[in-house]
Amino acid sequence: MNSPVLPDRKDKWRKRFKKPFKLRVLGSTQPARHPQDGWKNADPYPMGSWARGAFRALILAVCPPSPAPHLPDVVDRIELHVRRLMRYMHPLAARALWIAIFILDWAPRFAFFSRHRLQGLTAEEGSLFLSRLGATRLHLLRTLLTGIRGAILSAYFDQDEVHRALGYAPLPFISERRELRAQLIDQAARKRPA
Amino acid sequence: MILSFDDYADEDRFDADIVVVGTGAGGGVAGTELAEAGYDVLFVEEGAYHQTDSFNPYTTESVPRLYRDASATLIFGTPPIAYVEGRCVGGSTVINGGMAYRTPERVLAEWQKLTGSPDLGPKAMEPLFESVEARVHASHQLDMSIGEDNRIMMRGAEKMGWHYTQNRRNQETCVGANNCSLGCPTGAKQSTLVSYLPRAFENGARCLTELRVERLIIEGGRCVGVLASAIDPLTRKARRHIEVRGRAVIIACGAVQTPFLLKRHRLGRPSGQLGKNFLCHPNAKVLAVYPDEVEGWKGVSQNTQIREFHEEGILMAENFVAPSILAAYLPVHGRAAWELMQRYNQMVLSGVLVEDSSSGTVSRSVFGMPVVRYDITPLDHARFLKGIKLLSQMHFAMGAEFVILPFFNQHVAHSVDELSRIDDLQRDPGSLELFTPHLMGTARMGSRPEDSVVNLSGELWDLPGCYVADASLFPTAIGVNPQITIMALATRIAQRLELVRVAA
Repeated sequence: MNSPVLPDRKDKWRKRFKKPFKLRVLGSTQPARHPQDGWKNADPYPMGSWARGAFRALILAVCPPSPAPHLPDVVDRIELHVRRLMRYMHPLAARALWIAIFILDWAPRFAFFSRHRLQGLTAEEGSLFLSRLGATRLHLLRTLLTGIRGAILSAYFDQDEVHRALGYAPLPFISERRELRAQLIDQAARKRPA
Repeated sequence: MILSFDDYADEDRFDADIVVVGTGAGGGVAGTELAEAGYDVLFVEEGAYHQTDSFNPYTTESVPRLYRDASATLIFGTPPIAYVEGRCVGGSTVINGGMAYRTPERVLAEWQKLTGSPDLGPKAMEPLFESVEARVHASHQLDMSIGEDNRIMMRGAEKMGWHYTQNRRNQETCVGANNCSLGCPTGAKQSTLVSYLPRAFENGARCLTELRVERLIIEGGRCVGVLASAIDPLTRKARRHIEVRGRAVIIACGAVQTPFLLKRHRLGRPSGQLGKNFLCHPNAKVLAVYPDEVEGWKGVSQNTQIREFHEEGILMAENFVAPSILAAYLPVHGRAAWELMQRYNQMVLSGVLVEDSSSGTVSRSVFGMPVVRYDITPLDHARFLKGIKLLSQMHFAMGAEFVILPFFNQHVAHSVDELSRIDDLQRDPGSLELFTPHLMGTARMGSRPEDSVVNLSGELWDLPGCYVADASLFPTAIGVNPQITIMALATRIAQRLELVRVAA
């Protein structure tokens, strides 16, 4: 007698978490950010849809909500940046970050904060949970959280729209300083005896 | 000639007189001195070549290009300490604050005593410092380049009756673009990228970039080259295998990567000191928020150093950075992060640097990764608490509304009274949040193989032909920014190599 065919739980499970995330490459929209010196950005670190779902939930929980500048594609931008960054890390460090995403995704359940994982919480609930987790005495957990939070916030506060909202305008300032330096060097050269 | 990944064949070989691994304060200087002395020098650099006009204030672009492992590097211990190293042509000199401090005389006197040789004493080092300082234009800042945050530090020190100095920096007509940590976009900071290396290239030196050195080539008991892998820029995987041969090899990969490479060959056995004696000048940040606009990003970073407590091993300095770097160290996120960062233009970022009173280790893990271990001592902890309290008091005296403290369990203090709680709440050193860019001392220099890794010419006691020329050489902590000391020692090693050739 043939044994009954059991449904492939793994496939079903994967299907459930498969979300249609499409990653946009920013190079084309903001060419000025990328220096024209032949440098090629690495491909994003590979991540399955489940890990991406968890990571995007983390991004939403960490990023400042309104009235901070709302960028329609902020999650895409930060995801792309952090996954690129992971390529430059030591493979073990990148893997640790990847594992940290999983740990943080499940942490609300393990810490009896909610019966949902982080990706099932609202951004506000997720943010509240991460704040509580930040006060843990477990060095390792705190270090993992600090690392991920730092990478996400760093990418958020590196956006031109956010710079404008903060009153930070580095590009015109640097251009002005370059010109000023050229003038000073020129003046000094003229003063120097021939 | 500078080559990169696309220029290499799948299996390639290069030959030179001297192979220099690393292009920072150690490798860049030693290689340039040797190229100018007529040697055929070949630099091998893991990072890529980025010129001054490519530097910009975006961390998302700059950190992967300029920092080792995208700055995801950590010292394990109590507390864990984040550290950074440069990975680009110019090494850490491209991303450092540009401090140009000589090794203090008391430290040199101690080195002289430890090694039993005048070679590392104040008199012997004096001409080396002079030579290096002339090359990197070590000088004080132009007054117009000094921003309001540094002026607050100076006025604050005066108000507290503390001694402070304006730093000498390796800069030429610096106008305070405040982008030191992401590469100087004006070319004023005299990193080896703009000071030393162009001279080396003028003298025929070559540079192989995007090459990670995996092991040394040892033949007949002598080091004759290195085996390296070229890193694919898209996948970051080692793809092409390159052999680089020379009559001598200078390793200048920094105090973590140098012992990591040498330990692969089980070197440093006579003393067992390789990878030990790791020093790092840990530092803690104190972020003060003022009621008025400061605009710390308009003006030079690290112009001022408060040296009132230097004898106790405590230094204080300002170090302003872009919002994207500052945000990475915030103790909060979400709404709280935005509320805090909205005050970005009213912030003064300062730090407390403590001279090491202990040392750590660098070892090779089974996963092929360097593992750095370092614990601060109770003395260091007490000095941190003292330094943080004093620096915060100074900010309050200058009118700061509140300060963000480097403790995970006590983020904010709104008044001097609240600072008094530090002693009660901070009994565990594990609650400190520390950071360091100064890594030193894992292949110490000495005159006896029993207690050092390399001799006074920088050559490994147990591997002729292999020299070390970076911060690994330091026998003890120096208590100041190490760049000039590294450059001076690298110059000495190059001169010794030249003497060997002249004698031959």
